Amino acid sequence: MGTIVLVALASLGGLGLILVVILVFAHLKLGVKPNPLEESIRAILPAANCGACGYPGCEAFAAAIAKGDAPADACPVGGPSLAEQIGEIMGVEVVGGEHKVAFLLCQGGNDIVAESADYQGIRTCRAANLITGGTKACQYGCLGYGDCEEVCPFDAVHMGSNGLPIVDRSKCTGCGICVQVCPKDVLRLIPISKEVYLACNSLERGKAVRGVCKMGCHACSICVKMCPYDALQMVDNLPKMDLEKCTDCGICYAKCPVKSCFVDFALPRPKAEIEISRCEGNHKCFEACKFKAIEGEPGELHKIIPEKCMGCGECVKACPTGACTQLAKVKVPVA
Amino acid sequence: MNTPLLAIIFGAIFVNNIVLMRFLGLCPFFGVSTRLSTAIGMSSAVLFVMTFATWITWGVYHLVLVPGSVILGGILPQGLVFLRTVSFILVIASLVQLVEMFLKKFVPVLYSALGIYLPLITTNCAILGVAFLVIDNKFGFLQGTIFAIGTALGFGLVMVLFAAIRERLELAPISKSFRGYPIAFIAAALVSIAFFGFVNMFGISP
Repeated sequence: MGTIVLVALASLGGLGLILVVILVFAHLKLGVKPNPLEESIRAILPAANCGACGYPGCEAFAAAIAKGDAPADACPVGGPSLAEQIGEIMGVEVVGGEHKVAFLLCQGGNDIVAESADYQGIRTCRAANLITGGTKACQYGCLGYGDCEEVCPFDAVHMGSNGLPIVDRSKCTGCGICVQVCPKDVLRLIPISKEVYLACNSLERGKAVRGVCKMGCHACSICVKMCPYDALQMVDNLPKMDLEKCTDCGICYAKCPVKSCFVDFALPRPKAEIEISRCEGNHKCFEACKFKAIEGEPGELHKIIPEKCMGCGECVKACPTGACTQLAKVKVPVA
Repeated sequence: MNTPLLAIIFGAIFVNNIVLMRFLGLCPFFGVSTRLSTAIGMSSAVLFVMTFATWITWGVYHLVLVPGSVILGGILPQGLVFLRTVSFILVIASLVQLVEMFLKKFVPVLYSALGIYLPLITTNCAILGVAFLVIDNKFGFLQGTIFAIGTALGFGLVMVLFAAIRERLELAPISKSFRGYPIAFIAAALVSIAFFGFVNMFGISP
């Protein structure tokens, strides 16, 4: 009995030893040294392997950066902070972009836009789109079969009861996979701090839009005229927003006769208030307010006209004494 | 045993198909049969490793473990057959590592083509299963090699067949609770039943 145990231990141990020697020897002879840059980049990548960077997985992406084929800020999941870290490893300066989230440019759910035909085919937007662009009466709008929900690797898109996807902005990483998969190009990545955005994709003229959707943009240009910052411009029957100029004041949302083609994430917007004890009347708020919602002469106590105040918060930013206050904006997640 | 080589290869591919009749290697079968390209990649990696692993394990068994073997026969006439499983796992895991290193250095094209499937094979029970079956069927070296190649081809055949089915299932209107793996298992069972039709063909029994 003793011999058998000894021989078993010795032979298995010997086998292991031989294999270890072979592997170590092979590693020394055959081992390909991995690029140390690649290793350290891969270590800080999110490891979601979502492919949003355009490479098959994080490892391939790390290899591409190390080789210099991919830009350091191409990972939308990691965002600017990751881009900065990668830039540090690679020794390049990265200009940080803002974190973006997906946004649906359509409010025409199945309670608003009619179906123009009965679709019996494969229940995906991409399949439906191949057949005369889907069966929604509006050919620019969301088809609502939930391809975006299906492809989202972060569980951030869910189909609402009205057949439109709802983006969970806290979970969305801005990887853009839903944007790529959408055959109607009705999803777009917008900066997460953006509070007001147009939610219509229709390039049709007013009458054609009115015929199919009561939430669609008529191209009436009222928002363009109302915008005090000159941030909107009519392009192809849609108001095109200049993100540099827009301050998210929300007047376009409020004044839209359709009520509203825009989505305002800052709703409800609290009115500005002036703390009488702290107001020194330095008139900065008066100059900052684009809606003439503040009255008062320089050196005097200023007053807010609540009917005119949009709640944009510009006066709060401008006031040097902190007399202008505004209740914290409550962010409401809207489709 | 003196089974003719043609019978061995036919039996390994169809009658005793590793996935559908022996139910081995189900993990890679369901894991990577979602697309045709990955199915082919995995199958070629399996073909590669299965043949190598059968050679080495056959050698280890007949030189070391078998009663009255060349190396241990003098010391321990009853042999060390009970160490079969643990030593084969050891050998296969090391072999995959070695093959991976070798390919990375000398055939980087093949290495990148096989990609993740090569290390995955370390834990593929089909490889270990074939090593055992070669021993159990008392195959010689040539017979064992043919058996391993045949089994790998059978694995590849089923992978490719099933990848086509999976690609169709993707678009089929299936109720939500059955999507993905449930319907894949049901489809696999149906394909398996179809393969029972090969039983006893040319006198080859399972």
